[in-house]
Amino acid sequence: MKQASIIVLLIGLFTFPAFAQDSISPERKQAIDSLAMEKIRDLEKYISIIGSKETPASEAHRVIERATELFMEDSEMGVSSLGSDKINYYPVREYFQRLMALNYDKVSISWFNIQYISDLEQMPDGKWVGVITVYQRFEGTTKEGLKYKDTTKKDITVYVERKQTQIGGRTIGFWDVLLGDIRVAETKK
Amino acid sequence: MKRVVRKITQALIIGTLVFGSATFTGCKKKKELAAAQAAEAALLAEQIKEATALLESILADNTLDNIDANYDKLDKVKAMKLDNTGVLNLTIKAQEKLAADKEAYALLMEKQRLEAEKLRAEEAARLKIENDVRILNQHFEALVGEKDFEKSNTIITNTLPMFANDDVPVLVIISEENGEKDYDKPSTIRKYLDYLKDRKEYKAVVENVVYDDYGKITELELRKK
Amino acid sequence: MRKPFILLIFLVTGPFLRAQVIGDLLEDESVLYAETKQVNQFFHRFNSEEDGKGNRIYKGDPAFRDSHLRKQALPMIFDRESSSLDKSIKNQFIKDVTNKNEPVFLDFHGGDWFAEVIIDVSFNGSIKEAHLYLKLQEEEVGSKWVITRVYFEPFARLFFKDPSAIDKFLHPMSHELDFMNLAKVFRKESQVEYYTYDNFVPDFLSIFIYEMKINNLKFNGVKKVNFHFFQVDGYYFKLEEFNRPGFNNGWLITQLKEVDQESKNRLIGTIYYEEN
Repeated sequence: MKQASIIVLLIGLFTFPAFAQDSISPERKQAIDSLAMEKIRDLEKYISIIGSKETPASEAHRVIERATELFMEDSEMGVSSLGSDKINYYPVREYFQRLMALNYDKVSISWFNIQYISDLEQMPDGKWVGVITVYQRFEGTTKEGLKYKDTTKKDITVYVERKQTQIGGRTIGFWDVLLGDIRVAETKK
Repeated sequence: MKRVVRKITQALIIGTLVFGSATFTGCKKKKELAAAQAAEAALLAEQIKEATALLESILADNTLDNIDANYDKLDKVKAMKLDNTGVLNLTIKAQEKLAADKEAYALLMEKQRLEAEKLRAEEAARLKIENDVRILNQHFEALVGEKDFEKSNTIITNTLPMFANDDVPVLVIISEENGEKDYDKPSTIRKYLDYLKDRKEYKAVVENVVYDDYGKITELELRKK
Repeated sequence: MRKPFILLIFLVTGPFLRAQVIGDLLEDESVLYAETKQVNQFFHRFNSEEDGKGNRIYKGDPAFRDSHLRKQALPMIFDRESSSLDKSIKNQFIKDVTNKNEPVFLDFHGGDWFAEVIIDVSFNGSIKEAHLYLKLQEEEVGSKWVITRVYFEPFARLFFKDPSAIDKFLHPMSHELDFMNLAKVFRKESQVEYYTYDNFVPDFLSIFIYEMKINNLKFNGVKKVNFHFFQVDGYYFKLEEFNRPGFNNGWLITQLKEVDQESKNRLIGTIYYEEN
């Protein structure tokens, strides 16, 4: 029993960046793209669960933890709305907490089946960065039956790093995909 | 005088006859003896030949299939009690060979027994993996299809005992290029089950399962579909 | 019909198609397909490196950088509502960049383009706008955006605002009096800049950073981002983002000018507000 725990501990200890890569082959890029897209879908699902009024509080709190784990530390949401020039910046955890506490009787969050995945650009620290754009439709209904609807464009930073770890005595190469800052802009319909 | 001569002649004739006949009888017996001796020698030679053939057949046998029959042959040779250097040497060699064969046969039998046991164990392990994979897939699918949070948690509680602990690593292969596997970030079974519960999507197949001595899973490798 | 044309249809037939499409979602999605969602996508559409669905076209694919496709796709990345776009210059530009013998492609790492980021700041208690200029700087590994300069009107207002500065100088014998006339110069501190050397240009970026460091200046948020491109020889164009209904949306070219070296320098001066 203990052995497995030690192995898991080792994942953390022996994680180190692989040697810098100059380019990513189109095949690899596609595999990374789909992995990054998978993380975005995870985030979308988590946002829907957190926002839903049918989710028990304990589950929502747990999902907030899982959603926060998708992000690099210090990641922020920069939210702008049509009515104002002002952009509000929230740490992602706070954004999720606000989403959970929204004062609607019913909330429906859905995602458009469209996205744009940028190229991956290398940063001076050797890691790679890209941006994935997705669109979300939000609908909140108050107790009084008043409806609030919006569609937002979300530009999500994606950091990609090649890492290696030891598991069960062998070296595993993996892509560590973490989400970063998100720009949220309400779109005009 | 004449009578004397006659008598002497008579005596000579009788003598000759008597003695002549005695000499004849002795010669015949000698011949018989020689013949007997020759027969005996021939028999011995025959026996030596037979023994040699038997012993050589033992020595020439490269299989381990006739050890008992070969021992019978050896016993047969021994029963001949042949006092022949060649046969004796061959007997010693055959005896040593058969002792070695017997030992080799015992080893072979042990090896076959172990192999059979290994095959049985492998088959049992294969069946266990097959069975576990089936159960895991069932649980994963059930989790993905379950909308109720409490029921989902029950499925998770029922699945976790298959694993050595909640932190057992779960690896997901996302692609493979020239035999080099690319993985998603390693997760743990607890987190993976929560993930399935939240995501409501299971798009992978079990690639490999590793067990500890107690038959509990210590590593789960999946491949993204 | 080839995929890249799908996008074209959305743009060309946009308003008509919208009326015909049944259901909100499909309409919304087609609008979103047409939108140039990222600057990165602008580059790919300009170069014909993506199909109508936003999927990448990689080198080796016949559609990769295809001149015919580019000719059809390029008009879509112009702001159709802009009054300052000259149609004939636009057509010539498209003709030039898709020239079969010497096609011009945009290169993210090719230089000759920069960002102008208009930000909101609080300066001594009041809300002001500042323009930051950033360029992509290549590093030993990877690249990064760096701030090259800033335009901040409250700073600009302080410098060289006296049209008759002819009498402002320290006479050539000032040294004999230990420059005691500096006292008069500094008494009128708003005109000190006239006593500097010929090519003195105030460095707003340093002042800006200094004001931030002493807490006189506070960043509030990004208001708008524009990109200025000089990568296509003989041309300048400006890229702006639109958030409006319809198919002509996202990152679009709003200004296109033919430039020679002299007018280019003048234009850069204007972008940097150097004339003020």
